[in-house]
Amino acid sequence: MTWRRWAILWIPLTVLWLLLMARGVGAVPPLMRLFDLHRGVWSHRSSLPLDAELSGLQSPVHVAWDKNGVPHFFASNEDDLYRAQGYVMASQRLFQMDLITRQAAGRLSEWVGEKTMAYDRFFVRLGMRESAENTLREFMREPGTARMITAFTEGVNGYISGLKALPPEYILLGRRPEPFDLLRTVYMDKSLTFNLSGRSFALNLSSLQQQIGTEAVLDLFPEFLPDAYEDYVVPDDKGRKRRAPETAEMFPFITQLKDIPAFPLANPSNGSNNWAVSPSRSKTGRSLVANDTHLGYSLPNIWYENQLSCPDFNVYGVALVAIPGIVNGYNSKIAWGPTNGTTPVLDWFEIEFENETSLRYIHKGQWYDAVVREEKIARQDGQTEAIPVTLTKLGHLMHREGKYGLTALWLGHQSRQELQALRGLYQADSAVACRKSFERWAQPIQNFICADQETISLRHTGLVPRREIGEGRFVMDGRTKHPTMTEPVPESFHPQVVGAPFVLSANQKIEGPHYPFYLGWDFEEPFRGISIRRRLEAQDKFSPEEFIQMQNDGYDVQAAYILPYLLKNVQREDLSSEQKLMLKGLQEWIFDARAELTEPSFFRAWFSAFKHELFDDTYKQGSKPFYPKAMRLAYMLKRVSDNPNDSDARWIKGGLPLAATKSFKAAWDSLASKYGADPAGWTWTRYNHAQLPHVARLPGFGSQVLPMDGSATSIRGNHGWHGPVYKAVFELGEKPRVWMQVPGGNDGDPFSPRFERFVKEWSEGQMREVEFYQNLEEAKSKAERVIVLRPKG
Amino acid sequence: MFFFSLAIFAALSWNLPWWWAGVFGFAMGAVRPMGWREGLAFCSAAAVAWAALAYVQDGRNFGLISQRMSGLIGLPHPLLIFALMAGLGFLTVFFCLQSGQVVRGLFSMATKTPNSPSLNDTNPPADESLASSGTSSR
Repeated sequence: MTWRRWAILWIPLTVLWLLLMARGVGAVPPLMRLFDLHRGVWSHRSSLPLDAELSGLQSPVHVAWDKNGVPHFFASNEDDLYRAQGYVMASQRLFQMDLITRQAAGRLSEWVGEKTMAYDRFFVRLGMRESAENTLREFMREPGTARMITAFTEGVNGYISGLKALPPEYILLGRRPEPFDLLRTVYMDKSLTFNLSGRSFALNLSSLQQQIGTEAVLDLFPEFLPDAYEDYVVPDDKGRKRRAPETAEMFPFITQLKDIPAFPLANPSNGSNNWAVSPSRSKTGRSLVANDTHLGYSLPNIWYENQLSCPDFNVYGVALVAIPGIVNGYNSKIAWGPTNGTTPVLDWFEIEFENETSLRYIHKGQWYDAVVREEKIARQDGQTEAIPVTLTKLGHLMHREGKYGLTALWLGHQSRQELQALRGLYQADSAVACRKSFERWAQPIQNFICADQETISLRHTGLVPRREIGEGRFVMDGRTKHPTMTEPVPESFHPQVVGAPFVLSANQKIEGPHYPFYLGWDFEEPFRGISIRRRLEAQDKFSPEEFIQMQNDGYDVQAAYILPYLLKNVQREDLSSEQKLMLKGLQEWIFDARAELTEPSFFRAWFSAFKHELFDDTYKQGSKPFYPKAMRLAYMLKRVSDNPNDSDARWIKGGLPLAATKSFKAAWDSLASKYGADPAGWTWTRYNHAQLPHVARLPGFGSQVLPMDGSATSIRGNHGWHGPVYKAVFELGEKPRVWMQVPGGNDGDPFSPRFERFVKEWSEGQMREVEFYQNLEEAKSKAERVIVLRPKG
Repeated sequence: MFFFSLAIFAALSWNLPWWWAGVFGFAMGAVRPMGWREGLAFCSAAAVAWAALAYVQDGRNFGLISQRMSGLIGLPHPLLIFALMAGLGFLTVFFCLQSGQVVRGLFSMATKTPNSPSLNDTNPPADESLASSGTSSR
C-alpha cells in the first residue's frame, strides 16, 4: 500500500477517533472529556471550596465547615451573607440548581429532549413564565427581598464565572452552565409551589361523573367520613353548628369534554409531618418540635443545610436549592417547620368559544376575547416550538375540543412576599412574631408550626380561599360560574391552633364538618395524622429522643384499618397450604412495615388487587388508576363486613368474601411473577424498592435499593420513591438542641463519600445533632475548616 | 521505550488535557521511525499510565468514581473502568502515532531522501513502521 493510501486510511481515522472522544456521537458520550485525567471525572477531589475572591462582597465572609459538611456563614452584613451563600451553594449544587429551575420555566426539553416536551408545554400553557415575571416584580418591590435575591444570584454567577472543571453531569449532557438570572430563584419558588399545590382530582371526578353520575361520585368520594375515619389539623369544634353537606343537586353541570389529556399535575403524595408539644408535655420543660418534609427522593437532596449569621440575626436550617435564605429551621428563640397545607387551589372550567377557531368566549352572558401571549419552547435539536398562552377570566386555556375549552385557574400564580416572610423569622423572638411574619405568605399554603420556649402554635398559612360548598370539586361551567378563589376566609375563621398542649399536621383535612367554610374535599388521607395523634395522646411527656423514634415509626395504620376485614372475609378453603401460611403470618402481623418482612408487601399487593377487583369494571380508568381513598374503602369494608346488605355492598360485586379471595389470589400471582415463587423473597425492601435516584436520573449516580422500614401510610412516610427528605427535631431552651438529617447530606457531589454516608444514616433513621455556632470565634474553634471569601479587587 | 514513555505519560497526563497524549503520539510518529514492537510499547505505556493514574485518583475518592461511572456506562464491575481507561489511552496514542508515521512517510517522499519511499512505492517503508506491520494488506 502506498503512503498516500495509508494517509487516506489513518489520518481520517485518527481525526474521527479524536472527534468521537471529544464530542461523542449519538448515544456515545464524549468519553475523553468525561474521563480526562486533567479536567474530567478523575480530576475530581471530594473537597470543599477553598478560599476565594468574590466580586461584590463588601467585606470578607467566613465559611466554617463542620464535620458533617455543613457550611456556617459569618458575614458583617446581610447582602454578603446571601452572596456567599449563592457562591457556596453553587459550588456544591450547580447542576441541580440549573436543572431543577428549568421545570417551571418549561425549559427541560432543551436538555432532555422529547421526553419532557409534555411537561414544558403544560407549564408554559399554565402561564408559569408570566407568573414568574410578575412574582419577581412583586419580590423586587420589597427592598430587603430584592437585595437578597440579587446578592444570591451574583454569588452564584461569581462561582460560574470562575468555574474551571465542569460538574460531571454537564460533561455527560454536553452542556455548560449559563449565567444564573434573578428569575431562576422565582422559578424554583414556582416549581415548589406547583408541586405542593398543583394537585387536583377534579378532572378524574368529572370523568367519573360522566360515567356513574354525581350521586355515586359523592358516595365514593365524600367530603367527610365518620369521626373514627377522620383526623383534622384543627380539632373539630362540635359546639358549632354543622355546615350543610354537599349534595348531588349542587352539581347540575357535567362537562362535555371527553378527551382531556393526562396533565403532569402535582403528585398528591407531596406532604410532610410536623408536631410539637408545649413545655407541660415535654420532659425537658421546654417546647419540643418535630418536622419532616416529604418530597420525591433524589440525590442531591432538594434541601441545603446551612447556618446564616450576621449582626442582625443568627439562624440555622435548610434552604431550598436556588433560593436564598433558610426555609425551615430555628434561631436561638424560635423554631418553625411546615407541612403541605393541601387545601385545593387549582380549579378547572369548561368554557365555550364563539366557534371552533375563535378565542372569543362567553362568560356571564357577555363575550370576551382571550388574551394570547406567544411563548417559545427550545428543543434539544435546536429548533423552537411556539406555544400560545391563552388567558381567560377563568384561567389559562389548557385543552380544547372544538368550540369548548378547558381552563385552569391556579392560585399559585398569586405570590405575595414569601421570601420576606421567611426573612422575618430570622429575627423573630417568639411564636407570636413568627406567626406575624407569616402574614406575608400567600402560596403555597402550608401548615407552619411556630414555637418558642414556652408556647407552640400551628397556622394554616397562606391565602386560604373562601369557597361555596362543593366549589372546585368538578370541572365547572365557565359560562355561568364566577371566577373562584377571589377572597380569603375571614381572619377570625382562619384555621390555626394556639395554646394547645400539642399540635400536629400530616396533610390531612384542616377542619371538620363543623367549620363554617368549605375548604375542598381532597386532602391527604388521615393515616399519618391518626398515628401521630394516637402517640401524642398515649403518653404524658416526651423527650427529643422519643420524637426521633416517632419519626421513624413504621406502624402502618392503613393496614390496621383494612387488613382485619380482608382477613375476616377471605375464603380459606380456596387457598393452598402455602397461601394459608401467608394468611397466618398476616394474622400475626402487628402492622409494622419492617424492611425484612413479607407481610407488608403482601398487604399492599392484596389491597391494590382488591381495588382493581372492585372498580376496574365499574368505571373506565384513565392512564393512572383512580380509586376511592383508602379510608373510604376501610369504611366500606367495615360496613359490608358487619352487614352484607349495607348500601355499600353495591360496590362489591359478588360479595366481600369472593372479592377478598379473588384479590388475595391475584396478589399472590402478581408477587410470584415479580419476585419469584418463594414468598420468602417478597420482602418489603424489594417491594417498596426505596431508592434515591440522581436528580437527572443518571444511572449509577443514585443510591442502591435501601433496606428501609416504613410505608407510605406510616409516620415514616416511606413510599419507596418519596418520603422524608428533611427531618428535624428541635428542643427549644436557653441553648436549643437540634437534630437533623437530609439524605445524601449537603454535598451535591456524586463522588463524595459524604453522599454515601448520609444516605446510609438517613435510611437507618439516624439523626445527627446540629452544630449551631453562636459566633465566629466558636465556629473557628469547633469547625473542621474555615475558609474566607474575600472581596475581589 | 516502554518505561521512558510511561514516565512521560504519567508525568504529563495529570497536568495537560487528554489530547496532548495524541499530540505527543503524533509527534513521536512524525519524527521517529518505530517498529511494531516499539510502537506497541509506546502505546501500552500510555494505556498503563492512564489506567494507573485513574486507579490512584479513584482511591483518593474512596472508589466512588469507578463505582458511579461504571454504573453510568453499564459496566458489570467497577474495575473494568480502568480497562476502559487503558483502552482509551492505547487507542488514542495508537491512532495518532500511526498518523504521525504516515505524515513522516509523506514528508520523506516529498523530500526524496535516499532511504525514503517514493510516492509511487507500493511497498511499506523500510523501517517496518507500525503502520505497515499489523494492518498491512500484504
